[in-house]
Amino acid sequence: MKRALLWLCLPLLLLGGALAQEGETVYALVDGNGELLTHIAADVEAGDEYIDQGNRLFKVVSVDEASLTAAVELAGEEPMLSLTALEMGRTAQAKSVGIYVTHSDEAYEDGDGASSIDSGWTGIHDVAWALAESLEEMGVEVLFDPSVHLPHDAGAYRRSRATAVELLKQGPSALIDVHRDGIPDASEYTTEVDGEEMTQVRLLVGRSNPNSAANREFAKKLKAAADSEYPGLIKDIFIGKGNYNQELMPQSILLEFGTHTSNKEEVLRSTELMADVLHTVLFGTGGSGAATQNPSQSGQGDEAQGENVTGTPQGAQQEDGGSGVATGIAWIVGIAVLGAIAFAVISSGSLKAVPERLKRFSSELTGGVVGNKPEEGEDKDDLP
Amino acid sequence: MSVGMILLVVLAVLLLFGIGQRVLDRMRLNDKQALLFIALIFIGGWIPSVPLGGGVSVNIGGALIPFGLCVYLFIKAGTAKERLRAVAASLLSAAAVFLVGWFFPSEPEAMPFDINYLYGILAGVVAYVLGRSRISAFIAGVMGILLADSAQAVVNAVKGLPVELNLGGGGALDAVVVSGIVAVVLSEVVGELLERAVGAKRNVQVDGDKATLVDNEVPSEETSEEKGETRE
Repeated sequence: MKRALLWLCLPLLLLGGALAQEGETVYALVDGNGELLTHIAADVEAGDEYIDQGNRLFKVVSVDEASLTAAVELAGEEPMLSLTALEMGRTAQAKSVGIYVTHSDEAYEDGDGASSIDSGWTGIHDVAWALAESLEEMGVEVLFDPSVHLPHDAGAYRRSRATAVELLKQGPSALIDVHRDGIPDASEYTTEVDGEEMTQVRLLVGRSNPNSAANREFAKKLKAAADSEYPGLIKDIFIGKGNYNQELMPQSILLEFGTHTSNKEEVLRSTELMADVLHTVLFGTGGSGAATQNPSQSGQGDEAQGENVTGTPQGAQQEDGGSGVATGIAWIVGIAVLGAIAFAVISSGSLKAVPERLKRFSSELTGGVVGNKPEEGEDKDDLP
Repeated sequence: MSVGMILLVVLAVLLLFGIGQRVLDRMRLNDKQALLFIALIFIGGWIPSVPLGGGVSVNIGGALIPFGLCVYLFIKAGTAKERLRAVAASLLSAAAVFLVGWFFPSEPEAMPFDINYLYGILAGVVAYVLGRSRISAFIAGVMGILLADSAQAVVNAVKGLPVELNLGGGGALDAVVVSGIVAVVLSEVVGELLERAVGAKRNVQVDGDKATLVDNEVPSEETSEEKGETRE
């Protein structure tokens, strides 16, 4: 027993030690020309993707842990959508949005006095609340859950999952997890929209979930709408490892409002515009006056009638990011089939017996409608 | 939500539903009982969590039904030794889950795989090493999360942090349920692989003056139980 315990504890401690980090690690994303694209306050891995403000898609090809530098290569232009195409893709539905905060300690040094506060309601709640209020002013029913998920540890997303699911039960059109970034340089987030100083918003999509493609479509819609209504408001989209509870709903998104060194007033200013962008994507234009006028008055609206920002035909747009949904469905079916085959191989010990076992497995799950029923008296534990 | 999106969500739930039914089916439950429990977990998960007072609430599908199932399996466990193993595996899993929260990185992208599955894998490994028992694996997977969450709530209360405890609040998709299922699937897969490896070895059987090569039999449920090495 003692030896078993030792064997159990050793890998856990080793893995924990290897993964443990002091503070937040910030990686620099650098392209092939040595140009710094941005900083990411999260673990960056090969395979992660980055869509910059100009809609260029980069893929992380390697990461140097010593210098905390991620080498990226340009993968092309990410197809984006026009505001008119977004209008076509929208379905009529009740105006409802769920908002919650996973990292309940996050705050702003310039405004809250510290970047992390374990007290319950902090600076990040103020930002989430401001976003909620702006949406409510636009006639949206906001399901705002300020539940605290402390401590800010590996279990935070597990705890906030309960909050997200409770919100989901009330049928929101989208789930928004409000965060602030952890990169040290506030100027990376500073922008000016309509003559006002404010902070940008980064969109984070988790690629380790079956809804990832749909989440990405949603993020792209948000960016497309923001680029049309308030150019510069959306900083970029980072598609990294992890799921961030985004598999719960295709229209889930993690929003990073500025960073911990940003001025909180500037952060709060950006929530109103972000609310308008969310309203546009989810429920159509008309959230605020500025947003309604912007596309046509600026002359962009007419030009965008026939094609989107990067030239994709308007008709190619599918409802609710259909291509993302199809990918998600294919993902789940693929996993189920591969899992069943793998287990059939393991349990039968040979490839020859796999078809028979899969037939029996199908039969058992469908009450004999599909596949072969086991013989009378046959032990079901013989089945995969 | 579009039809496609509804289909996507339903498909994900059905996958969990199917695997869950198979997992329970592998323990001392018949098909109907397994389906009933899965249905209760699914339906109970969509009922709002029940507040117990003091900032504690419990979700019927995400915590109460899995806990009840653990009690049922615990009572039906064959021997005192097996029950002891289930308790030990639960405590060890809870400790592992708690330690993971403390020592592992806080951001999901820094984890080797999804944190929700990590707990189930830990519980599965703990239960398998302690007794190769699917029942222990399930109990460890479920109780590990419930106990670790309760322990975290105590720590938060001591620190004076205003954090409410919502046990199994994620319903059928909560780590409590996922962990229980993953733990059994893992012990099943590891068990099958190891037993297949052992079963593949061939022995010489001597019968009088005749010596023949025979395949070792893969340990069956019955023979394992008789030896006190329950493999439910």
